[in-house]
Amino acid sequence: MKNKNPSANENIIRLLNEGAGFISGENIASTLKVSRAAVWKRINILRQKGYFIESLPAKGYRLTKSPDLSLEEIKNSLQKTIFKDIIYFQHIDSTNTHAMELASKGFQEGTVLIADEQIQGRGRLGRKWLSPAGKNLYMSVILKPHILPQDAAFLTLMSAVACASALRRLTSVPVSIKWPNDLMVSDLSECGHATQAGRKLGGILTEIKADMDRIMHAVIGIGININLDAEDMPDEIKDTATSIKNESGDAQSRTLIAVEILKELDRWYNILLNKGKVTIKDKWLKLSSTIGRAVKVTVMDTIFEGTAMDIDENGMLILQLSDNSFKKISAGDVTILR
Amino acid sequence: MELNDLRELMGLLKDTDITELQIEKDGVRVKIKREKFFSHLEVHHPAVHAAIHEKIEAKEIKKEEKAGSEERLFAVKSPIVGTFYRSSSPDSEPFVDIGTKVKKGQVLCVIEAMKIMNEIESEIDGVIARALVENGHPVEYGETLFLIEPV
Repeated sequence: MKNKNPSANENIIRLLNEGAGFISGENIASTLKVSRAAVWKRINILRQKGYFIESLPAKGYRLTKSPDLSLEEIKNSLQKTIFKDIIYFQHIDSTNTHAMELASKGFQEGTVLIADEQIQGRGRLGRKWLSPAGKNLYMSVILKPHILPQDAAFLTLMSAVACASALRRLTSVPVSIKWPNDLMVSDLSECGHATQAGRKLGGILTEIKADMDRIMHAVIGIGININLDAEDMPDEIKDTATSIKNESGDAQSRTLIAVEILKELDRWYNILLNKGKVTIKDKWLKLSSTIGRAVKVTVMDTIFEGTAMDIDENGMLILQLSDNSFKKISAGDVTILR
Repeated sequence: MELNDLRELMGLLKDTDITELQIEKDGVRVKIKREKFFSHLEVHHPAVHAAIHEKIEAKEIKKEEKAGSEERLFAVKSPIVGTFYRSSSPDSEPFVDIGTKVKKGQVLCVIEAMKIMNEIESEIDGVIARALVENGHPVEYGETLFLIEPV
């Protein structure tokens, strides 16, 4: 069936979520200015999408359970943000790859791609990102920021800040940021040896298209392990990866996490556009688990060891090496030693 | 810049029509000026033995670029400070090599900074004439990455 009214599904879900109990088909029909038959058709479509909607004669409809990743509820919760165009995929090769293509084709700033499963989920330098169905969050957002290409690093920093803030607010997991934007779980207050290096909870991959003067578009890809169980993890990442469920013991709604992250991203993006680089850097430093630690940085075949001192105005990591000289790092893999 | 480099530069200039060359590298600026004196001059007043200072607008010559044959090459520059990669992952083939025919919009390399991957595209149709940066090396803002011969 062709979707003549693209927001009809969201509107019905919104009405069902607003009402405490049952809402009559007639009430829905008159509010949305459609026929009762059209409402009935929509309800069936939504049931196929995974919504449990109870219906009783003379009482109407009641939403008893939403799918774990609900496009309609995400859309309804983000109406005051820049994220108005949200595209959902059951399977996709990679949300980032597709988002870069859509951005080149002229898709607007604020377009979000969310997938239940990625067939070729990827991280930095073509590394594989574990992306099974029904477990985690995989999403990419298209931005077209009017900032200089040299300031693009702040897209990375603000994304990490947004994700870490959102996850800390919604869950009990002490999420921190490893330079520049890995989302880690490590107990910062304790010096427990087992967790000192931390486990990776999520990653952010930012890709941009820029020339000397401007950024044409940027895509921020966010992958977060939410309900991934230990047995879902292949051996090579078992010791280094974790998930929200793994840490807190409870499964979490992917819808709520997606909404909270996108709200935070909207907020921090506005801060960035309003010359708030210092605000972003300060918040990043507060959430970082890297600064002040002894670290090892692998840049291609070269390894630097030293103390992570700070980040500079371009987001580069400033290392103090053993001979007390300073080294700025723009790219590399950071391992926290102690 | 070493003394030998200077000698080599002066040697290079000798057989050309270039009279003035200015190079800036790593904060050191070198300016070489040659003045041509003509002993036989077609002038209306034979008494005047003027040394004619031939002025040629000094062409801006970027580091590592030589004058002449490479003048018409198109320089691809880095829009950000970062790390240069010639392929999308360590296991994959380089995007381009010397001699590769490229089309406008084709990806030439990736520059990474703070985990931002910036795909650099060709702005013209052409053939890769020179690749100036090694895989995994740092690049500066505005640094020339490739020279492309337009077709």
